[in-house]
Amino acid sequence: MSEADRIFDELSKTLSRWGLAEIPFSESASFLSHSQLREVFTGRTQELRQVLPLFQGRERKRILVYGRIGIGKTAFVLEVLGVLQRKAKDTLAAYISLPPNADLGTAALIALARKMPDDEWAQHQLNLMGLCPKKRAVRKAGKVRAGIAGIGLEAEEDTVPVTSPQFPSLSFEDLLDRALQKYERVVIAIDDLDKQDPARVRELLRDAQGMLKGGAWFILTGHPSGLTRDIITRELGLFDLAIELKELDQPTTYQMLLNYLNSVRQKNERRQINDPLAFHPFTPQTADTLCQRSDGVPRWLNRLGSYVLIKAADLGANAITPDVLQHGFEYADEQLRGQPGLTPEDYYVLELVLEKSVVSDKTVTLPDLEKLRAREFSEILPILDKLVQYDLLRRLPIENETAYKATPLVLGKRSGQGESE
Amino acid sequence: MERALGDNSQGEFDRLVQLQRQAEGQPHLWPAVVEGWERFLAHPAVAEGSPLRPPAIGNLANACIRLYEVTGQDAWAQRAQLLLDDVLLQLTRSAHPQEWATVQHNLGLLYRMRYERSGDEAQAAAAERHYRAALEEYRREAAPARWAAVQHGLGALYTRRYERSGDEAQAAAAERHYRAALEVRQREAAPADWAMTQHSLGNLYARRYERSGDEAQAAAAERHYRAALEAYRREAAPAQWATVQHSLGVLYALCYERSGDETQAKKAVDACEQSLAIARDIGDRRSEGLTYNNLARIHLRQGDLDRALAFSQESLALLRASGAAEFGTAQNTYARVAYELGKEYIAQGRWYAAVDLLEQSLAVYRQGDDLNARAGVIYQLARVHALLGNVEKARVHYRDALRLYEHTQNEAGRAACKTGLGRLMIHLGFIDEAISELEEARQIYRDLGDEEQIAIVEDMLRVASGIKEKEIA
Repeated sequence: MSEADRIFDELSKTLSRWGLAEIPFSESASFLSHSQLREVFTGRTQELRQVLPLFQGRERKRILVYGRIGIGKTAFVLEVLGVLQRKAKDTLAAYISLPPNADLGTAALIALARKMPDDEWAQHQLNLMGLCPKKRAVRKAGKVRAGIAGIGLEAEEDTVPVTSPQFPSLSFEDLLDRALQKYERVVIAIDDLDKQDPARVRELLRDAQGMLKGGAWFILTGHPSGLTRDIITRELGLFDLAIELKELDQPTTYQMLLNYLNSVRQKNERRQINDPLAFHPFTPQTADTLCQRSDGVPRWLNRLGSYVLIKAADLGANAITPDVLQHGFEYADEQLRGQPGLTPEDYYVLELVLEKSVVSDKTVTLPDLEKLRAREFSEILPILDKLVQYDLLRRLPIENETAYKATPLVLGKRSGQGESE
Repeated sequence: MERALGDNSQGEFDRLVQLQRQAEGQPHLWPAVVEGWERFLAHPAVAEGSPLRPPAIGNLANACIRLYEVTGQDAWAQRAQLLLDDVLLQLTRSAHPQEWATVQHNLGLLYRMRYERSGDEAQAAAAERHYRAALEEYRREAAPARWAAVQHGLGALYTRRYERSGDEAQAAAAERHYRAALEVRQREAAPADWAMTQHSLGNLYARRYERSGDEAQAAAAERHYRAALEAYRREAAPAQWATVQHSLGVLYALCYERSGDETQAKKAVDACEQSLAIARDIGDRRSEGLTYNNLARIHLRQGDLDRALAFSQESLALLRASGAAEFGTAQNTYARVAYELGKEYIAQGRWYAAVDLLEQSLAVYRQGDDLNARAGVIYQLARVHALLGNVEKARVHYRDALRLYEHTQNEAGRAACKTGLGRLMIHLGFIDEAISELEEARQIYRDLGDEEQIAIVEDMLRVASGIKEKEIA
């Protein structure tokens, strides 16, 4: 048995001792299957009550779901689409995370085409874009065998050149027409617009206005500030409903943690919240501390939960005591700072934020910027946003400033406790 | 070829020297010159010990220096230095004083060119050291032409120092060395050398005019350029003649930028066109690029921004392709043109095109230290983003511009940013912050005595106060 085999087996045994089949946490809901999502999705009752009744009506709607990164927009959208798939059989629901450099028309076209595996034209569109169709596209080509004049026009498989659709919105409309011949309603969810520059998103929305106001329903996800404010003030009319997802309250976070843990327990071992061993290997106290530290942000709960479990297993702990939990938090800090893709410039910016507690376009000084070899806040803005994506920083919900501070996942400037929010 | 060279290595040497002279006027020939000397040096007939070997290496080094000048690739400078060091090992000062001095002269030239590109004073000091070493062996009485050439080189070195520092003592030293060179370089006996120094003197006076605005300096520059043109005839030395035309074009463009006198603009364009025609004929992309840059500046001053942009883009493409040291200068012109055109586009409502141009302009200013110019571009970006409804970008840009203007103590810029922020904050509904920014802007405009802007700010303050009163009510 190799060392790697031994380590793997040890982790499995520890998880099994805790009554868990695997580590249940996941950074993004897009990694979960429909059934897993159903098991862990928690809360958002009020928001679901706003959205779901719309689908009982006939009038097409455009819905914007917005909130900070990691707040659960993807999970919310996937849950809505899941409900539609289960309850509304006449609805075709398609989901896509907006690919980098793609326009909304292309994204919608890809999402819809992937949902229409039996439609040859849809699959041909995917093939043209170099994407893997469910059924391989075949181009019929005339071929005359030498010496047998006039005989043998046959189909041959040929390599189809990869090209982007010239008019993606029009291609989407054509495909939509075909889809609407089979379904009463087509819902397209385009996720992750908040991973793009807000000004670029505005351009994308402006360019896609015709498509968005066409025959399909759309659910888009976006930025917590900037974009939404701009859209709501300027593009009023583009969305019928804009729902802001906020941080979960503590009881809901607590329930979410329980749901995650139960999702990897044997059915007969699933526990209720009032069971003293409900959160095992967490104690009620450490479960509570974990939830508090997650600050109501599902992604932070998932990341912290995952790191804490790994560290606890590494320590051979029978239960996650406060001491083990602290080790887990330190491990999370270490892992987050050591994520691949971070450059020295990113660390300098992170250090500045940790040093100043909050860095914003209003309060940053020229000497602060010069320390980072910059002279404009705009120059470090892409780094700040990158650090948000890496869960090292959070954008503060201040409307008249672009302000950042460290997430509660990051401990202090070098060592010691992280600040409590 | 190899056998032929074995029979006639001196003949091949002479042929290559001839080609090298030709390349002085046709820069595209330099790679062929390098290749020729490399082939020559690889032949067994020119092995170690051959008397032709050291001068051949020296000539190869010269060709490398010229390629460094044309392409800007430091590899050529490094190679030239290695070759010259090699020659110095073979031609010691005691045994070959004149050749040793020639190598010192060439090293002076090499370090001067490095200084021109880098601005590193250590390179300038090295250049001066080598030039002075050459003068220890080149005596005016014994080797007047070479002595004068080194004097000219020192003149050029001090001119570059003056360009960077503005120190008038450097300009005076440059003039002294050029005048010394002219004592030997007589028009009748050495018209090309005489013209070269006349041209360089013209450049020195043009730089002085650029700094001081003293028209006597411009007149002196023009006089020296005209003298150079008379000696270089277009048919005999087209490349050199075109270079002087280019310099004359730059001088007239400077005069036009200062005075706005359209006759100067016309003279500048005429000189540029004369220069361009030759540069195109002989394939001198660097000169062509420099002349386009000059044309861009003229059209920028004339307000013909579309043409200025087209010339500037052409200039950048040519100078980038030729690796010319002046690429940075052309980038600065482009940044100015893009900024002015960006402002124009904002006025025309072509907001996305304006953003594109202003971003390009900002990218150039971010490489330099002109914080006022940089703040100006950022301020315009803030304006256009506000118009586009990208309020967050607008706010961040206004605050970035404000920080830079505060640093440079540009009061008008500060007031403009605060006015922009005030307007934006009204739009966003942050009335108290809007009022605070606008009151500060009004105070600055009062200090500047800008009544027109005070009236604009007061209008906005009235709007903000009205909103606030309604909120309270």
